[in-house]
Parts: sequence; structure tokens; C-alpha cells
Amino acid sequence: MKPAGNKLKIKIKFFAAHREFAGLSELDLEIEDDSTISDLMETLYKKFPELKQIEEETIVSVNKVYVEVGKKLEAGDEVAIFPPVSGG
Amino acid sequence: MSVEIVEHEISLEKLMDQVRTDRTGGIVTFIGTVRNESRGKEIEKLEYEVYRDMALNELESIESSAMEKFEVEKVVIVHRTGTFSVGERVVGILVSARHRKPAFDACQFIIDQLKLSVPIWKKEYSSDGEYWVEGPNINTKNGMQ
Repeated sequence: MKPAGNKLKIKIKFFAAHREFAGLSELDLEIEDDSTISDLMETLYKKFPELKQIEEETIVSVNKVYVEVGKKLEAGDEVAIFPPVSGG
Repeated sequence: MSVEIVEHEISLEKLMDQVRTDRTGGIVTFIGTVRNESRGKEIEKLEYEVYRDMALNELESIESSAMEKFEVEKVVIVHRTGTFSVGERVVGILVSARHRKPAFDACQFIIDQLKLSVPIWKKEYSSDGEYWVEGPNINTKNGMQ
């Protein structure tokens, strides 16, 4: 059983424009248990206000799979934050 | 492995050997190269950034879909990462099939899907600065897919 107020350790990766706006490519973060992607984004916007400028162009994956904003995070998750892809 | 992210040059001969089988009647090839202009600006070079593990997963899933949807024999997909000048090959897609139509259709499907879902980004360096290329935005109104 998890005690109330437990924290989750997750890893964040930033790519392309989001890496440049955040000013770093990786970050280990502790967030509240039961946090969703939306909660995480709010935390990140406080930490890196410049990211807010490209909020509309933000895509998120968890453990290398595209996810929606309501997705709940779990300990050890690898979250990636990036703009629409432009390979090819 | 038939999907790859590489730094080295794309060798067409090598990739053709990878997809050719005795049942093959034709091989359709798409080679993406660096163009000298974009949106009216002269391009000096392109820089690619890749989320490698996820990109490989996405490429494998595109390859599987292509194999299921079309009557093809083999598929290889190679994307390069690094910085490239005009004329350099940056993506290679080869599809072998007994007949040409499924090979053409599968090749088109693969490059279209690659541009939609594989986490690779390119930055253009032109005479008036550097820009990340904005890909097709497949986000929902929530700002995410």
C-alpha cells in the first residue's frame, strides 16, 4: 500500500524545439502520486516558462508510446516532450 | 533488422540485396534527399534529431502494417541522423514484391506514415537563419495526440 503524498520518480526527455526552449535534453523529476500528463505539464511550465510559448505544438509520449493528456504517470516512466515530427 | 537509424551513408546496392528474393518481380525505391530550397529560402544544410528508441518502434510498426496491408515480399526502411548538405541521401525505403502495384502502394504508404508518426525532426539552415521544420500536426485539441 502506498502512503499518502507518495512521490513518483520519472525521467523527462525533450527533443527539437522543446529541448531548446527548456534549455536541456533530460531531467529526472519527482512528482505527486496520481499525477497525469496535464499535471506534469503544469509543473514543467512553472519550471521552464518558455515551454508555454509552444504549448499548442506539444506532443507527449510515455515509454515510447504516444499518449493523451489524461494519462496517469507511474514510477520509472520515461516521458518525452516534443513538437510535431518532421522526418523524411 | 529491416528498420534502421544510421549515421553512415545509404548504400542502395546493399539495401537492394536485403529486399530481393527469388519471388521478387520488382523493387520500388524511395530515396529522400536534401533539397536546395524550402519556402523560398536557399538551404545550406539540414540537421536531423531523433528519439532513437521510439523511432525504431514506430518504424517497426509501420513496416508491419505495410506487410499486412500490401502483398509485398520484404521492406527496408533506413533514416539517417546528423547534418547533411544539399543532395545527400537522408531516407531510404525499399519494397520488393512479386508485382509492381503493391510495391508502389506500400512504398507510398511507408513514407507518408513515416512523416506522420516517427519521432524525427529536421532543422533547416538557410541564408536567413535556422528553423525547426513544423511537421503535420496530428494533435487533438488537447494539444496532444
